[in-house]
Amino acid sequence: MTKGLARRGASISFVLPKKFHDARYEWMDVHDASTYALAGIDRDFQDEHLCMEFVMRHQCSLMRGYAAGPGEVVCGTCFRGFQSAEHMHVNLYAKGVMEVAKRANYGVIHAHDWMTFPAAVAARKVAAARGKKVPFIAQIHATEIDRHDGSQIYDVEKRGMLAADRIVAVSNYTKSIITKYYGIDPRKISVVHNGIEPRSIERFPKHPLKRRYKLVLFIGRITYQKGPDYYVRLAKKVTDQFANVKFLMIGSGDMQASMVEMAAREGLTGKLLFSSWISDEAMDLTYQMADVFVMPSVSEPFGIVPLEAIQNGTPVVVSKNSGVIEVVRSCIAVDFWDIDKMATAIVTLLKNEPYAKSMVAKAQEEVRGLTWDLAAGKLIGVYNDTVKEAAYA
Amino acid sequence: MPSVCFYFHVHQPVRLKRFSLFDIGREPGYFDEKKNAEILRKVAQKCYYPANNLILELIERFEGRFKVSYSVSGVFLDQAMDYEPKIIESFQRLANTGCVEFLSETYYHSLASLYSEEEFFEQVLDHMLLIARLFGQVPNVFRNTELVYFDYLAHLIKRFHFKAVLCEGWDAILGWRSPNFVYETQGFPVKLLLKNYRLSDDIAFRFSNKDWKGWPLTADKFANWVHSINGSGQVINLFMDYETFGEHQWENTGVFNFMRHLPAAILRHPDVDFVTVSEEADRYHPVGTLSMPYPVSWADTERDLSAWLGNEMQQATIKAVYALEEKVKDTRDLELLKTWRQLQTSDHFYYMCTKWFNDGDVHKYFNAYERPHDAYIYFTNVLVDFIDRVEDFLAGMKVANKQQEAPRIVFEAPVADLNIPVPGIDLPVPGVELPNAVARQLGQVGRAQ
Repeated sequence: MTKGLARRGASISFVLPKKFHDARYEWMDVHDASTYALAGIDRDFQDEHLCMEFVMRHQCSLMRGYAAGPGEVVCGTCFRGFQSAEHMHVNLYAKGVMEVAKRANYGVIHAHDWMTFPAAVAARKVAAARGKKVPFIAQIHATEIDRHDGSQIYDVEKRGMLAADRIVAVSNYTKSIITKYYGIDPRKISVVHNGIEPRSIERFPKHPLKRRYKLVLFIGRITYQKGPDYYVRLAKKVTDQFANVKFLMIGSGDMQASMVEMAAREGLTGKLLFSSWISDEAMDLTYQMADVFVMPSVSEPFGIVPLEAIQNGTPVVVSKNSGVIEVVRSCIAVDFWDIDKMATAIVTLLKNEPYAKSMVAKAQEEVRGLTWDLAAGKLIGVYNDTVKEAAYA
Repeated sequence: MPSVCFYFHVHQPVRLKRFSLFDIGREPGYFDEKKNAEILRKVAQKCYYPANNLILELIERFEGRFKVSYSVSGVFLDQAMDYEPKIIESFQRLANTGCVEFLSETYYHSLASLYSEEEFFEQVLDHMLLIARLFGQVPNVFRNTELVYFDYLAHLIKRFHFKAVLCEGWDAILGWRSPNFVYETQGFPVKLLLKNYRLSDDIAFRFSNKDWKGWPLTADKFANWVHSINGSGQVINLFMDYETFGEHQWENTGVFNFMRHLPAAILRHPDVDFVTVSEEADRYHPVGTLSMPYPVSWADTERDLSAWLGNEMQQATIKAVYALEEKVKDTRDLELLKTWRQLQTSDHFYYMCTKWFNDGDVHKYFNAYERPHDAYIYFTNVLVDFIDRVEDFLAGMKVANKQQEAPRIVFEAPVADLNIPVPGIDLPVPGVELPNAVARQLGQVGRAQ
């Protein structure tokens, strides 16, 4: 996305909580919030900075997308600096962003999801102190409604959404959630769908499992949001009828152990296979192994994995509660709870190869048009409109 | 008057690789040979060599008055032959003293007694043949995997004419009765030798526990406890994992020194002597009958099968393994048969155990994987691969059968090339119908005699 924005003349200061890799980003400035956050704190004190130690050891909670457990991250240094701290890392990040903001000149603040909203508000204040009105655009990739983590994150999200000058949702589906569950005026929300870079894909030789079996694939975090338990029930339903179908569940997460146990209990030993981890290089191979890709998410703001599956020539069955069906029509969309329908869809795709092939060919055509460049163009439009609105306000 | 019977169990599982679903059909082997060899060599240095040397030293010093019994699993012996053959030589030296007895068990340290009579029978026989070949003695006493015993087992081992079978002296079964006597099995009379788990575990588990009131345990103290049973028991059965010496209790706990001084301390009482399991069975008459309709093991505080079969992952996988029996045996392929049997080793199921309570520590210590669920995942992937190999083989046989009028698939028994000097091997009751494969093996042993 940033590449697309840069191509359209945007200059970007990109603030990461912590830079872990020495990746090169020629098209933008990348800042490490943690180094700024520690600016002004003397060296001896830095060593006591438990937050930083935690960031190093566990990767920052920001990066994992979770709030770290209480106690684990309480850090005297941060705590003194941010009395009202709810999530230390969010505050640490906000402090870093403030330091960056003081040194930078910017016309738009674009923040992604709740962890960055306090920082965005802070950056807007920094600009206001200079007498400059800079709009804060909050992009929503996922909400607490999707994740069901059961924490107080909902409040942070809602405050951020209310504070923002404009909201960008990754799908109409997410827009409706923001309206319905956060009470935000739909007119304040723009939709910019995610993109996927077209790329040439290496074709891998047929996996030996394919000699005997048809394969159905699930890739994702094994958490409530992704509907893994529906997938297990689906596996039961299909393999009871067709012994030559195997289901793969790839990923890890808080529900993996119970899914493994459920599989054993349901007599799916050897029929539903698990893998906790695959390398990035093995992703394409995995998509290509599958005859059908399934995403039974309970709630999926967008859903980029089905697009990757399609790029690899694998037809997809996806939950109706997802954003991706707004941009790809050539797929089968089913209610995540409707195991019967999902099973029928899968069996149809497995049995009727010409149908599956033509469906995925059409889908590939659709996916080719979904570039990040297209998304960047839309986003620039949103920026311009918002800046104009802010000027009139 | 009472005797002391030391019995050590020697076993190492063949651990599986972290066999991913992507490895199915691609990765040639299932077992982590590097790790298995590494562990075997490590334990050999810490336990097998020093402990064998110590036992040999004691046997020589006491000129026949100190005796021990061993059960050594076939999977252990296989690995020792492959990775560290000196271990075998070391045990052979012990065997040659005449003061060491080897027990019978299932070759693959399996739970076959619970799932397949035929398979159980073949594994016991295979193990007997191996012990006979390596140590020149035919076992007379049986111990089932993990000391699992139930009434029906006595029936299963009937055809081998064992003198006795080992089991746990568990309070729930014994009630007011003492483990320090020989009993008889229910229904099919064989003598039952019961583990005195209190005294056994004082050495095996509590020896180095500083919170235990018996700590520090000295040879004299332990001998006193043994002597105090004088008059109220026939025999004290001290059954334990051999790895107690040097592995579970590290060398620096003093466990070797303890053992070095124990025989002298015990023999100080003129009425006490050491016996092997057969001698115990020969010498003592059963004082009563014990019935265990349900399996009793020596593991965990439950003394049941829950460490191997307690959850759905364990049950699903073990059932899947035994469901393959007919197909695997139809292939008559020795390599497939061996692999299938290696998958029966109880440790694979033990690794899937999710009881993390009292026994959690022990389970964690012995687990080859981070989580029991990983053990299930890898095992399942291996099974899928294995089933494919069996199916491929059977399909190949069908093709061969079609092409040739008379297919020449000859079953080569694993003992075909053995030249065993078996002294009067006492084998099955005449009239008992044997599975074909076994009958053939027996035929070959017969010729070798």
